Amino acid sequence: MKTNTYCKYYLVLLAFLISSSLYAQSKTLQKTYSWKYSVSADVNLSFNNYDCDLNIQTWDKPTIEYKLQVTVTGLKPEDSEILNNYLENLSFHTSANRVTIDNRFWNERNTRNNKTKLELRNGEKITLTKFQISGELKVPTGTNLILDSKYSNIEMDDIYGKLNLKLYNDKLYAGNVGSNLSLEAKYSTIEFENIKDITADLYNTDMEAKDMGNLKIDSKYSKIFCNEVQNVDLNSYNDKLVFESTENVSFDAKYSSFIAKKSKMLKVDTYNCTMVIDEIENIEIDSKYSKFEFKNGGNCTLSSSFNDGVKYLNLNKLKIYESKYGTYKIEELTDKLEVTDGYSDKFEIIKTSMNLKGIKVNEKYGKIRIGIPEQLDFHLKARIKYPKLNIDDAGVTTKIKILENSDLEYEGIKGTEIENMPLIRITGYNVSLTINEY
Amino acid sequence: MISELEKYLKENRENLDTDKPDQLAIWEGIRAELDENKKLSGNNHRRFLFNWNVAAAFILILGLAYIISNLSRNLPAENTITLSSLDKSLGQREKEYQSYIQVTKQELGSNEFSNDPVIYEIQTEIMRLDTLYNQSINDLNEIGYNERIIQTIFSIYEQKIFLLKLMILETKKKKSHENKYLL
Repeated sequence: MKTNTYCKYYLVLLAFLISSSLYAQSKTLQKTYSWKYSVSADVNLSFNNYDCDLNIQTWDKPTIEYKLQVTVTGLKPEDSEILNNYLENLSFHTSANRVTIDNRFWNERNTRNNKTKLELRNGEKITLTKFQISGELKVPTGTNLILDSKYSNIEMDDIYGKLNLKLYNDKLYAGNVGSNLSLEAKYSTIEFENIKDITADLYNTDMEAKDMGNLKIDSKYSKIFCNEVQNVDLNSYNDKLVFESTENVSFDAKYSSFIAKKSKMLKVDTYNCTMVIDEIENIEIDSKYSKFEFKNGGNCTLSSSFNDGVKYLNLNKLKIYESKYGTYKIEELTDKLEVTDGYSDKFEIIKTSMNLKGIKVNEKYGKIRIGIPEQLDFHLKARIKYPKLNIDDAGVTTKIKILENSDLEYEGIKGTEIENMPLIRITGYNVSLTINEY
Repeated sequence: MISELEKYLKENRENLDTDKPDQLAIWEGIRAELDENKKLSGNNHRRFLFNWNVAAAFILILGLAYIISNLSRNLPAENTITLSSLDKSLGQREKEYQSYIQVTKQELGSNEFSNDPVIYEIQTEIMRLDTLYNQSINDLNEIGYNERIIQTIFSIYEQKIFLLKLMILETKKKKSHENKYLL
């Protein structure tokens, strides 16, 4: 009996030892490694950052300091030693003017079933269960930084050198950028304070900034929010762009929306877009299936328009070279309306000013409704096949009115005829013209 | 007293010794006792063997686990990772997106590239999404489970559905609107 009991104890002990020895295989390496380089104040730093949260700080020392915090679990003791030795001896390519840091210190990394196999740059292989790194980078304020990053959260101080960012699935929170910024980003969220000129290529990215210099952007499925921006050159596809104010804008876009409170000159080529601007100087439009909504504008020129809607509260001058299925609604037109070639358009001008110079429309299947002040004298000329005129004859002196078959030639004067009085001239085919006096 | 009693017993031994032992019964008793001892000893032996067997199996299992664990460290990794291999519910969600895309593609009909620049651009965008999807899967292979990559993959599916629907809309627009009036 005694022998049996001893045997049992012995077995339990053996099992315990074996399981403990298995468990003891798993080791955690938690350590911070650091590198320090003396550099010039305007050093060029290339930084490759992968799956590593990064904090970039600037200082007035001519030194780059990089700290890498590593937490690796589930390592075999020998693997832990391999990794530790490797990182302790890791060095980056440096010279006084150029430093290249790459935190992707492996050739191959493969993760399956919570187990990661890592082949280090020196060819050695290790296995682990959890791999987490984060970095802290201190650079001179004038550093020209090229940052290529993936799957990371990045915080960045004000930086005054040139900045070149290539981000993929990152979150970047940056301060001021005192020099030009070149940015390429996909699936990222980016916030800046103030930036100088920026050239960007965005894909499914949200970007926000206080003020920007000149902006040149190729963008898709992105959102951009900014207070003040200088000149804007946008090539856009399915974006949302919101600005407080802009200088001149070139907007070549599909399925995008552009919203601003104030803009100067705009040149737009749009397809299925929406533009909403409160104050706008002049705009040139080439568009299809788009909506334009402005409060106050100077001159609006449409070189080509198909199925667009244009809406103004106050507009000085509207000039349309070619338009089909357009809808134009203007609360008050101050100076002039000119349509060279219109097809099935609808014009609704609620009011015209006493300074109206004229309305000249050539339409087919169009509907024109114009409100004219009672006190305003004007000269009306119409040459329309299948006309539909709705004009208050009272006070209008008819000079010519010929209706042959369905062709109408009409000329009349409202009020007293004087030289350079506003001329309303409507030509075309199957046009409905209504003039309301108010 | 004792010597007298001893003397008496010696003299009358034969008269006194009348009962004879039942030898058969004694031998049966001894045999039965021997059998019982034999049975008990067999049981102990079996129990002892059983314990050793359990112990051996236990050691064997642990040893095998150790060997397999060591071997698996050096086994080449599978080529592809899927969302369902990470999490069943993710795999289910992916399946739903895929079947929705399949239905939308069927609604769309033709797979051929369009001559219309707007539709062609959408088709190119969809192809680009395939590249981005492959890139995300590669990253998933490298990093393992990562919320951002998974979000990107689903965002790609949603974008694809959006573009396919846009393509349907544009095709209808072209057929029903522009052609009707422009031809």
